[in-house]
Amino acid sequence: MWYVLQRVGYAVLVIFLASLVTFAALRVAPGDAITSMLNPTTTPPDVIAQYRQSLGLDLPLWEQYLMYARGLLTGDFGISLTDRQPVMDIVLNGAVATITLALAAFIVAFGIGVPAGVLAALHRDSLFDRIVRGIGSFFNSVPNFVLALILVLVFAVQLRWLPVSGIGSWKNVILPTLVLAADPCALTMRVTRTSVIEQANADFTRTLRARGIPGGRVNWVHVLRNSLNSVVSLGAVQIRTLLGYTLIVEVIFRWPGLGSQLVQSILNRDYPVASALALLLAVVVVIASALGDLALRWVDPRIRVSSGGSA
Amino acid sequence: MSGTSSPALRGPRRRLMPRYLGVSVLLWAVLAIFAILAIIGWAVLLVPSLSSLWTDQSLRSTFLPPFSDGFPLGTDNLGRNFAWRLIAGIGVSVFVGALVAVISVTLGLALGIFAGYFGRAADAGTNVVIDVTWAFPEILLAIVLAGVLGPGLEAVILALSLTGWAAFARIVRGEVLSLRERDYVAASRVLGYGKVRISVRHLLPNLIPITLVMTVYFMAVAIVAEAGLSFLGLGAQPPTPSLGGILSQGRDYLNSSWWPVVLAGLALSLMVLTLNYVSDGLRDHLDPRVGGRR
Amino acid sequence: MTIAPAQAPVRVEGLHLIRHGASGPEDLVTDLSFDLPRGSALALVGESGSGKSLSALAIMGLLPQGVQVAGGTVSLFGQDSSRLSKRDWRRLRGTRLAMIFQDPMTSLDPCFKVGAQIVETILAHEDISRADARARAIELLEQVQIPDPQARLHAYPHELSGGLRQRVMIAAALALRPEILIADEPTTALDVTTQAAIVSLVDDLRRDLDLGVLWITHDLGVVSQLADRVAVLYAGEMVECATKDEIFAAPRHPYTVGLIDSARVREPGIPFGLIKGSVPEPGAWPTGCRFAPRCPIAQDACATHPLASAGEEHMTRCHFPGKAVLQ
Repeated sequence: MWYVLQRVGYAVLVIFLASLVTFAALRVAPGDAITSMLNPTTTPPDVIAQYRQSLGLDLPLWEQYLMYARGLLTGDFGISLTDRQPVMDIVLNGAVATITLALAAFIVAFGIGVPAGVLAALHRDSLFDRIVRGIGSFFNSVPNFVLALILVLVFAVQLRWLPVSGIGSWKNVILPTLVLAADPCALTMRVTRTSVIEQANADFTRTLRARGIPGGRVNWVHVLRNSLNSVVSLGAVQIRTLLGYTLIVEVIFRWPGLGSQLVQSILNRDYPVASALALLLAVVVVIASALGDLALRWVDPRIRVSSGGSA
Repeated sequence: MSGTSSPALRGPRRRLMPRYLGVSVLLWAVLAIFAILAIIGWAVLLVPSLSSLWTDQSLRSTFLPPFSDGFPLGTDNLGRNFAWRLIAGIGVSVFVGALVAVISVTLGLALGIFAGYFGRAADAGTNVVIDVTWAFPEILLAIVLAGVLGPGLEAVILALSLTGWAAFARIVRGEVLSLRERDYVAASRVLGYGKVRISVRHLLPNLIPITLVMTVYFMAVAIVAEAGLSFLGLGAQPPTPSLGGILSQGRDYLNSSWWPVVLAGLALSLMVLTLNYVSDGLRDHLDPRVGGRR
Repeated sequence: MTIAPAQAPVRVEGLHLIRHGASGPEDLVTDLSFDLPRGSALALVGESGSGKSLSALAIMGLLPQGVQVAGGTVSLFGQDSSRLSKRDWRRLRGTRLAMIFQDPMTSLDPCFKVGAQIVETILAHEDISRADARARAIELLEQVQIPDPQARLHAYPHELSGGLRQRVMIAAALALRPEILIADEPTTALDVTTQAAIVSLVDDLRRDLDLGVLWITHDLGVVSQLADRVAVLYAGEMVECATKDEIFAAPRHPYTVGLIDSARVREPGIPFGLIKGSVPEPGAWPTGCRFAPRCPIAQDACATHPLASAGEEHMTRCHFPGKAVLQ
């Protein structure tokens, strides 16, 4: 229990520091909200001063941060500079699209990566193993935006089976999901394979065989169970990777999620939106990694006791 | 060694290609070709009198396919010679990749040793910084930084260097933690040598193999990231050619010309694949713990 | 009190094990023969690299990848083991033939409670209810003298001490009342007092259950408490085999002499250790007597391979048996 509190506390600390980073980025960014909203050459100085005051830009930095933080905690993320929409609405609009995409990719990456990795490990050096490893190092090296363009060229432009971009039908989901899942799937496959091979060579499998436990049970129950912790710790890393990739993949496929909003807002210098979205993604990553650590303790009985005291 | 129950009992695998430093000569050759292309690319980019090679437009010969007269790789939407643009783009990629790799590895080395060898407070502090950095997916942090600094290659280099070091610092820290328990380091400590001196004399030499491996690996990562940022319009600004920029432009003309996307994608992927294989091979060769001897 | 002595449950005859090394096949074990009757204890003694563990794994049909039986036979309960199908093997292991291993930390699955691992073994061979299997597991833990077995059932391996873990391993191995127990250095990873406790536990179980025990060790001290016969292995072959008393009282092979000598408690002033150097790696064995390069009494004749004095109660593979003596 103590560990859980510790871990949650650390996550909160990291989130706090991350919010300092996004706040700083907001401040450091060239041109503040005023110069973006009002044309400084035509607006009288006293009007600008009035605006500054109303937005709290004349206060000391730490007070501005407190305002910023209070806003974050109450769900007030500020107002978009380009279309004057509350940032919260933008977030809510984009969240569903991004979660759909990321979840689909996550399922594909693990749904294919784990079984393929296990099978490759159990049939080490077989044809299947070599194919899996080949595909793995291919997807590991082809940047996802290149893969995206190639898939679009083949399946959308040439074959016309799938739409080039946009949202609407289930066909729109296929290409972005595949592109997003490719690299995480390759990594999952590789980590699973390595881990299963390691565990399959562990001493305890020999003991189990010596007791007459059927080989299938040794592999699919004991070896798999022992490989689970590397797969679980991979899960948290993958969420971070996936969120990073959504930025590019959403832009390519004009997918109206948080990623494309974020890139758009940076290109438009819409800093409140960019800062809020960046922090939001960071919070998701921090929570995922904390959950990953906690899940790891649950999965691996050795960690559970060794550092947890009397739980 | 007893060897009675060692699992490595299979015969040695036959290799078709001779190897150097654990990497097939074929890969070294590909790497050399890219290096040569990159040098040509720099020449073309930096020598003003050569810039016409990749800037000359001709609206009468747009979208020429490869193997056209005078344009071995065809032309782009403005009728520019695509071969020269591709080579210049490779030059940009390699330059940014190498620079970012060197900066991130240096930073990672310094902070990793700092965390691993200079006490618990240093360790905890560095760890928090790493975790905050890691809270943002690399590409996101790079995008934010590039956005704040304004688009351009300088911003990209800074952004990628400031995000790339964290992973390496973690690795170095782990290495240092195990190295400091070794006898000769402990002995130097007993002899009263300072921490900085021990770091330079004993820790650094032991970190050279992993540093080499990770430099190559980071170069691959940085090349992809630079291309990604340029693809999003945050990296090299037109008319400077970059692989990401070529891909982003080519995407708009996929219907009329496929070769810019395919060729730039191929060059980029091949470069990354080669670097990844080289770093894997080097690691197996230099770091017997991970790879297994020979 | 059988009239015609039936064949021993385990009979090894001329066993020859090889692996495929970088330069063709290499011998790992050559011409190994012994019987293991029920109720007896045979100690297989040798340094690491002598092939003793591989021989045990060959009996269990669990040779690591790349190691093969190139000749000789292992008969299990009257059957040629090379004829056994995968299914026969599975039914045999755990039920009639059991094995425990060196490191009880890595030899138990760290992710499963020890009770579950014993229950699993029982259920793999017998069609009984889980509750019955659990009751049996408790009995077994009692039998191997684990205090508070009910609670230990729910412990993970890492929550137990090394001695308790080894007891759990023994309990799981004995779950199906096997006739033969192979113990591959089961006490090496334990401290001295725990070692003695485990040895006497196995000795008790051997008597109670009429077990045939094959005890593999490099430690002659352990052997003196437990075995009734001792076989000494060097560089893949048996160099001496006799009753325990014979071996200790009148060793005939210089290597055995050296082993006993280095195991004795030393008085000050006596030079330590008779045997210099180390066991040659497989593939680097001398053509003649494999021990000759390290042997204190080696002569010209030792360049030829010595034959085993076959058929004798006290077997020796030496050109000059009995010439090296204990001081």
